[in-house]
Amino acid sequence: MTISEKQDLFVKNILAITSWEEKFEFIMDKADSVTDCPDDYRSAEYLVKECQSKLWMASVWKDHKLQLHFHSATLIVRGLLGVFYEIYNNHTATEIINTDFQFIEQSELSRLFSNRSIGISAVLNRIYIEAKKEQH
Amino acid sequence: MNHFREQFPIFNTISDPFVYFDNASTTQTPITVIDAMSRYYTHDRSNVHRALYPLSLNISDRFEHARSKVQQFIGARCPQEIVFTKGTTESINLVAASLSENYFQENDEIIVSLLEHHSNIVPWQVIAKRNKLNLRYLTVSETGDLSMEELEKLISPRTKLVAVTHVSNSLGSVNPIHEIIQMVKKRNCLVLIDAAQSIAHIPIQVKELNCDFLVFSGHKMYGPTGIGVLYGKEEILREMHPYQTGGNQIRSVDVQQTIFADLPSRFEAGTPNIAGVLGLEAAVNFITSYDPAEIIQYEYELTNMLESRLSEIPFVNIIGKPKHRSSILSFTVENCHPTDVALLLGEKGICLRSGYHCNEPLMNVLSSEGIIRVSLAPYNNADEIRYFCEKLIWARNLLHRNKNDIPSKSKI
Repeated sequence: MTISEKQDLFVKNILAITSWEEKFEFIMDKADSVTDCPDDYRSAEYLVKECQSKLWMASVWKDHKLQLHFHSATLIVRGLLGVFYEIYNNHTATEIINTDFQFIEQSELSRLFSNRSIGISAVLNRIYIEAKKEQH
Repeated sequence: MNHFREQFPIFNTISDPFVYFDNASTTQTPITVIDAMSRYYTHDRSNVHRALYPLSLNISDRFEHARSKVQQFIGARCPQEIVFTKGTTESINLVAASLSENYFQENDEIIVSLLEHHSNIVPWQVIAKRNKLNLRYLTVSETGDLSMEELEKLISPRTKLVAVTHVSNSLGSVNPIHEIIQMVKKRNCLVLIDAAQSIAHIPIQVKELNCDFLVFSGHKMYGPTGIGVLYGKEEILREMHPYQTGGNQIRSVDVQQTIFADLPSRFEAGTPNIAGVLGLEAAVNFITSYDPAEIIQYEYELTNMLESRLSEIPFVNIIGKPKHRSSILSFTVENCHPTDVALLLGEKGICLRSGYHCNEPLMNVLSSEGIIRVSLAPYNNADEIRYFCEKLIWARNLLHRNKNDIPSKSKI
């Protein structure tokens, strides 16, 4: 599946859920998708945000494809990271750069994804910046 | 306290459930404060302390009247002791930056407590580094109290200033500031009291307290954001260098030098937050229209009810048990991250804070993953506490279906 197809599928699935409680459950289930950051990456260099909770992100390129690692003890944040993992992991820099972030607004969860205090928006920016660097 | 709640339009504009338990972060605004600010923009808009037309003369007069009102509210000797700032943080920065010019000498010591908000740590850390001073910390007991014995030992001949909060923003501990000030003054040090979390809840009279500085913000006392107060003893303020320079704070300027204005203008560079000052005056009027004993009693009962209800929930760990608690109470939920709990409660209309509460040195001692904080005001009520406890159990059950175990037992 392309990144766009994955984004569309996520939007379709989340919009099909009507109650907030079930939306949260759906997001929390995504927490299992996340591969933990190896201990080496739990350092200040990889710390994205520590205002509300600590969030680490490490990205490596293997065969020109992005391999994401996250760590957060927060279940909901981890779930949101799981969404990013499912959408962006194992894709090339060009694929990442050539898609937009419209899915966040379309999912009607932008208040969670864009919340500065939990650091999710910073993760998305980092993915994009890493892709830009890799492309050059 | 229904009559109190009725003064706040927001409770009629946001649909239920709307349970506002984040008063330590910012309080809601009563209609009188909104009206005072709105009136400035619709009827009185002009600058202060400059022009000679009636509109400006009148608003300058009202601006200074607001200063006198704040002076009376906290029992300062004269209006010159009241400096308007952006808030508590700027007030502390003003004192720290100004004192760093000519008060401290290398190896002098500053004491702060571990209960302090970052705004009462970082400015001191910065000047300590720059001026080669030593910043020393007063520790916190397991109950969340400060030890007078420890403070006595900590104060040395090199100690020049003690900066301490009246009420802890994360644990709600009410510190014995009368005793602290007495002890510090006996040792000839300056003492700064951070009253951000107490000003709306506990009557304060600075003359009786004998503190050198007292700082607070308008937005935590039902006033506007972006306005705060620095109280300083006149004789000390007179010795201090201006913090920022420019318009409004000078007596005369020529190409070579500037003579600064008298107090308090010398510390108020630039056009002030006029609407904020008028809103702050309205907030003072609002607070003083209530019997402080009634407010204290009501908040005490409500906080006791909250503590007792939370104590009955087996998976809740209340953080600290200070000798005197204000209307702030923090806790953790076993095997649940505070951020998760706060996000879920938010979806049920419950507004509270989770995380480190700008209090990381203390959080490093208490709980590595942060805490959840409820902070009450007189517009809160028993029904809201019952609803909150019910939804807390719901949130925990929802999160607990997952096996994401994290250590949440606090160390105190």
